[in-house]
Amino acid sequence: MQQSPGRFDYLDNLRAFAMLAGVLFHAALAYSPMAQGFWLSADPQQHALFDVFAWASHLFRMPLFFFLAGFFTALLWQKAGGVAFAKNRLLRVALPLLLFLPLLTLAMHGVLQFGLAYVTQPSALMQLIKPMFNSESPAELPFSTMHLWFLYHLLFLYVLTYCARVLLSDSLQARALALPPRLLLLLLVLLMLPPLSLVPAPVPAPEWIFPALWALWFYGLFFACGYAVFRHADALARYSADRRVLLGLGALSYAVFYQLLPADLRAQQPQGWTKLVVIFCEASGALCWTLAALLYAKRYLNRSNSLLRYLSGVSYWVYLVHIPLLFLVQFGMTDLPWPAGAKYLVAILVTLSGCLLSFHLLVKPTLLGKMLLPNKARQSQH
Amino acid sequence: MMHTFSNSQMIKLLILKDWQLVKKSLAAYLAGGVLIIGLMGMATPLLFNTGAILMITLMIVIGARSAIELVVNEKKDQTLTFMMSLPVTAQDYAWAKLGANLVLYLVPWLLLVAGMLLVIVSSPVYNGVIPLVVLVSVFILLSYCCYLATALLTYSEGYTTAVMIVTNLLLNGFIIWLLRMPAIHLTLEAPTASWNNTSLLLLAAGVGLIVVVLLATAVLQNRKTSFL
Repeated sequence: MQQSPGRFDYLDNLRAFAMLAGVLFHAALAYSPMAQGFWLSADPQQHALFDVFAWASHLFRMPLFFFLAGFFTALLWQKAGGVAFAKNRLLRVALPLLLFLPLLTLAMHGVLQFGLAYVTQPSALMQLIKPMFNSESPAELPFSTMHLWFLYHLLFLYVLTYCARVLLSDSLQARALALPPRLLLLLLVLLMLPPLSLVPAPVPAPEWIFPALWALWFYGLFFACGYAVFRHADALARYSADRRVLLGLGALSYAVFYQLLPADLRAQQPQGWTKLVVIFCEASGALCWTLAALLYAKRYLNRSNSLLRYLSGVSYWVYLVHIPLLFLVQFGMTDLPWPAGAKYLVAILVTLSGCLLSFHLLVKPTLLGKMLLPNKARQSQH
Repeated sequence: MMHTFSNSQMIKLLILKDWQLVKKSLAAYLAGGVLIIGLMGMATPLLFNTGAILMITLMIVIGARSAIELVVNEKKDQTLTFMMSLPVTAQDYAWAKLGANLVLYLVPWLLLVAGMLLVIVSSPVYNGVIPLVVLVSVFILLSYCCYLATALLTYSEGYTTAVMIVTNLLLNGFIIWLLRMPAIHLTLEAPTASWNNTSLLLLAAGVGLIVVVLLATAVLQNRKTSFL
């Protein structure tokens, strides 16, 4: 049975929350003991609670985002057709990537220069980078898609979706969804193990400027699930009664996963059977919490009001531009003797305020609004 | 020339027909291309070399299959006989075939070459290999143009296959020849692409030959007075 195309408020709201949760996650890494070795704005003040929060959100935030992307891909393709879909994705995904990646790279370069000059207690990564900047012929930083890697990988998933639409029969989805629900979940978890075994845990951001096969595979599975759920409305509904179980299983998986993570993520990763347990818990945690988030959102967030529409409208812009501003604020506070919690709150408040201010100055009244805001959000912003 | 484009609507329809015929194959090649670029992007010497060989194979397979499927098989499967019953001239048909084949090959060719160059630029692979990669890719394009021209002018499976075999054999020789040139092999491990006189001359020669082959095919096609 196919769902009739229309707006899905809980999914819109969930997407906005997933985007905004990205700001909270990136801000938390500066105060996470586990991320001290590799995070640029790592602060001398740390607390283990930031690790608990950061890696829990990291477990399912991007999988959830790719699930939603798959769902909206199927919706838009069915509603508008292939050509209109391609035009829409070029405008909303490819163009922002091309436009903002150079600007963000330049901004990050400037922020990094500020951090190197201003911070007296630099992070391990800053200490590593400092001699490269101070030498007579400064080394170029490796090219990176930064936090926009998800846009880049989405473009490849759109191409692969086209290939799958041409090559694969619709009955394949129906056959997969005909499996008993719990068996299907187990199968999905098993399918996630090969890509997760190729990368350290927790999964890193695939930010090099070429498609990372493990990321296309791992996130592609969530994307495919979202795509299938649009086309088969009852696929998600049959897990409704199990939402508490999914939440609990996700929490159990995360607890084991977190316990097995090394204290310093740069240190040697778990090997052998321990690695297998880690990636199994990572996969099951990601899947259970993604499904739980969808089911709870359908129950409690399937509504639309001016605040939710506003958040839905601003979230894309906030996510695109938050990193340089967040790092600038965190570099400014690194040497202050404040507790980590206070620094975290200030970093988030100042970053969000700056992003919202820039939204009202640079996006809402300009052509950028047409590119970054969906039609519904554009109407509600006026 | 005016006559050539007098039936542009029909030419467009014929090109669309060819697109429909090879859509599935192209989708499979596209998925294969993403997989290969991902493999090359892992930036280990083994995976980069394996990916490079697979990429060359993919470019050759795309060209060979489209020339055979869209031109030679059209005569074999009696589709050409059906075409003769349509309100199209031999020139319309010839231009549609040339246009469709070029577009359907050039699009994946450009994507694959751009993908390969992107991988090289953004990974630890030496950028010095860029001239070699570009020259080999242009040679593969030239080979494709040669057997496409043969297919279009003869509609013969035998001749077309013969040209394919010869050009594929020449590709191996071409790569060895390039690698033996000091101007090429001495710059392979350079941090930046070294476009010296030799590589630029070879590139210009390759592009020039492609233009000559295509123009000659177009002129000979235009002189045709019948479909066969």
